[in-house]
Amino acid sequence: MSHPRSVLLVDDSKFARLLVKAFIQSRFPAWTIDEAVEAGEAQTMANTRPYDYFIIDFNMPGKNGLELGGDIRQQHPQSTVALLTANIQQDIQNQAEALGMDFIAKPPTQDKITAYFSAREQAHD
Amino acid sequence: MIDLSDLERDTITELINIGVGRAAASLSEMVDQRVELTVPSISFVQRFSDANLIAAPHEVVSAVTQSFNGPFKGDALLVFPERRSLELVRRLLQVDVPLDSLSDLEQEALMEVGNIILNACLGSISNVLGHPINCSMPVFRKCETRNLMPDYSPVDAPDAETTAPFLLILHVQFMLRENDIDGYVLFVMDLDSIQTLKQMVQRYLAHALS
Amino acid sequence: MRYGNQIPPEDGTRKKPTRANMPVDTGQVENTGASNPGAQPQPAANTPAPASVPEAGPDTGHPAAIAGTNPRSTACKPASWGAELYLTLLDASDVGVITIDQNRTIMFWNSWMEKASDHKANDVIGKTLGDVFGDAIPTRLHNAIRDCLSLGMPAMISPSLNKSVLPLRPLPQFAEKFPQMQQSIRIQPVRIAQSTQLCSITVRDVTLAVQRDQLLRRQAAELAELVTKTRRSEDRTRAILQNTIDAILVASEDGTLEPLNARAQELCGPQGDPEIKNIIRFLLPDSGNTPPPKPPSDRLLTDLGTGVIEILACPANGHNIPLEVAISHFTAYGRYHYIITLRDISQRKRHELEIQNTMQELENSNAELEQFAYAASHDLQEPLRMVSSYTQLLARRYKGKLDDTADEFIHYAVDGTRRMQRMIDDLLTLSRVGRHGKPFQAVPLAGLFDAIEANLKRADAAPAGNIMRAPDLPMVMGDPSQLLQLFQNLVSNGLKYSNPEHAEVRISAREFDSFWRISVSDNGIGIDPQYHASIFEIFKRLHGYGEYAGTGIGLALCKKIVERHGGNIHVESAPDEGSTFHVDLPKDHSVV
Repeated sequence: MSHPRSVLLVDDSKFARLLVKAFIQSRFPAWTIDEAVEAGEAQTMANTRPYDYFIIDFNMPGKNGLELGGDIRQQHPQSTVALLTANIQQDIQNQAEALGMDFIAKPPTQDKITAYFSAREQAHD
Repeated sequence: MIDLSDLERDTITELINIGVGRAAASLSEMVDQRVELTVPSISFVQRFSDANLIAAPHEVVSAVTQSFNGPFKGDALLVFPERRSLELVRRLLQVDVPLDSLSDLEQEALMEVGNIILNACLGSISNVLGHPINCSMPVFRKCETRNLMPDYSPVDAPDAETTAPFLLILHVQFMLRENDIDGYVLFVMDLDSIQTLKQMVQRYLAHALS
Repeated sequence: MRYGNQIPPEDGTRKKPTRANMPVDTGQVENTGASNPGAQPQPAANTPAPASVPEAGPDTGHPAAIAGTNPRSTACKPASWGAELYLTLLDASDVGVITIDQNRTIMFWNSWMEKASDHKANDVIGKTLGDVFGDAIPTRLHNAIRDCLSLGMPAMISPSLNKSVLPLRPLPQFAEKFPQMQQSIRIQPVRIAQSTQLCSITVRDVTLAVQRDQLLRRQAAELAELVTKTRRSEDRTRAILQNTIDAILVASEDGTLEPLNARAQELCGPQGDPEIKNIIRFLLPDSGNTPPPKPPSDRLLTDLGTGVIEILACPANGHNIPLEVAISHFTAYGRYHYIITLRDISQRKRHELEIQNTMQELENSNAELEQFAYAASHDLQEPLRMVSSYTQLLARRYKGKLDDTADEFIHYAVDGTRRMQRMIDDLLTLSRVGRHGKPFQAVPLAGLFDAIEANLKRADAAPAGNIMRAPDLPMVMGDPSQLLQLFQNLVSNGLKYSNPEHAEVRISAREFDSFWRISVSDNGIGIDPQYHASIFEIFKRLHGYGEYAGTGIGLALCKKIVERHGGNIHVESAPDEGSTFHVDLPKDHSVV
């Protein structure tokens, strides 16, 4: 594995952010993990510094996860963007895929999160 | 008195959110179109009839109720304004000739829809918490919104006690835009169950973050 | 026996859980399981083991599950055969009962299931549903069983959302229409020991209900179509009614009047005529026990009983409207109704009035003219007679005594006065046609023409010629002396305007429905069509005085006489081809 990565978690649920952060840190302790509660804040943070990963919830007040994900994909094409949502309707999954986003179904579990990042990192290497 | 920290409140909302997300996926598959969901809202009320989630308390609705009775107990309801429920059934059964009210078989179909949705919802919560939730068979009811749940009014407590909220109501609205169908899912839990749920959530958080 | 494992009887007949009874229910089941370790599921199927079934003691509450009453009040509770009783009851149940264990294999399969599926319990116990039915089992059922066993989720599978779940045979009476039994399925978690979740499946045959639902739906569709059709035709009828210009009302037996269209509403409404309903009620043949009072006479424009009813509506918001009232009737639902149609006849009334005025003016001016003609001719006669007498005296006394020129002048004066005398006489005759007519009587035309021929022969000035009459000239109604004048004029005209050497006048008659046409034809000089109308005008002459004698009043007189008889006169002619005058005389003079 190469150098430590940076991740921005965008979710209005503190609980969800807490879990995902914990799961990532237990497997990748060196990584930087930032949090944003909605799209606007996420945009500002993304403009301040580069992130390797964006993990975005779908159902949020304001811009939804697909809208934000689409913007991020355009503005930061180098970054990997994943939609992490309880809304697992096929339609949402298809839209995420069309925008070049990954899809992770909620609830987040240690296994799921580890598997996702490991696979991603391997693909990079 | 209900005393939930922001995180606990957030966690319960997220749990329901996950459940309803699954439910919406089931519904979406059944009607073959996208189901839009609102962000769940939590409110605490003293009586069910106090809940201001319902704009029109006298509106006649079709409701499918499943009671759950695991470590915590309460009711999960899938509610449609009556006209919307007719449209949903029509859409599901692809009937050309709608009747003015739900026939027995249509009622049963709607119960099954409720069953699938509420099971998806409750099942995913049970999955997250790692604890089975015992559920009842769905029950169908047509009534005015305000009568969806009986009012457990503390009969002999005329003093300050009566102002204490003791029901938690979780409300998620969903819409099928193509057919102009909307409805909502309600979770109603009493004080004891909320305490139990709170403990389970704490245990879960502690475990997950350890 | 049709169980593959020990099943505590209460599980299959668990009461429908409610908020109130659920905790108790679960508690009971779990306690039972805990106190009976022998009830752990065993993989071996088909082991009838009533002995190892937990005893259904009075304190366990099992009978309550079946009877739905307090266990302590249950009458039958012999401990030794309790469990077998429940199994027998389950087996004999009128619904299909299947129990599935954690391995997804069938533990119990009752007689109902055997019959409906054609699979004996012995053959299916220990197998999965998939083993038994193959791919026919839908995912929905698989998932429901999975969720039930792993999460304790109950499920229901409705016949409307799932066309056929288990391939079961329908009852013979439904076999034709339904290849498979229509099923309503309940899937419930059942726990017999603390850690053993079972899945109970009950199958109800709802083919009859589905059939009825389809019938209901079909009938509803037919009804809806009928309603649509009826509504459409009703809408059309209403639109026609509403857009009819006439006001239409309906009156029922008791005299209640209902306006049917917009115009009627208008007339009967607040801006309409407050009296109109009373007037209509008065006009109805039988208007209840108390006939309304007769409306004021200025509201009834016609005498009742003439067939045409006209009334005057006086709306609050405008001009009075004359209305023609038509009343018809129909019978509906055994009751007699009148339909009243009110037609606005303002325009017609206006025209009628105009015609009436014109007629009156015409009559007045005719009378004046007649009076003038009479007065003029009568009063002119006196001075004329004087002039005539003295010029004749001059002629007699001084003829040949003055010079030739004087004689010539005197001759012109005498001739002029004579002509003027004749004209005045003719004028008087003409004016008398209207004023001094005799009553009509039957006049035989044959006799009339005899007299005419005699008159012409006697008169010196009569033109020569041949008069030919058709045989069988009819009898006509009229004033004999006027008719004589009429036809004598025509005959003499005919002769006058012909070559005296071979002049011929023919008289014929032709019968029509309502009149006789008497025709007088000559072979004379004829009349240019452009004069066919004007020749009947008074003092109209087509020729100079020298050519043909006469005052030019003859045909005007003829026309006047014919008109007094209610008839017509016209001419057919062309120059040099002779002329035919047709006189049409009505047979019936009642209207004159």
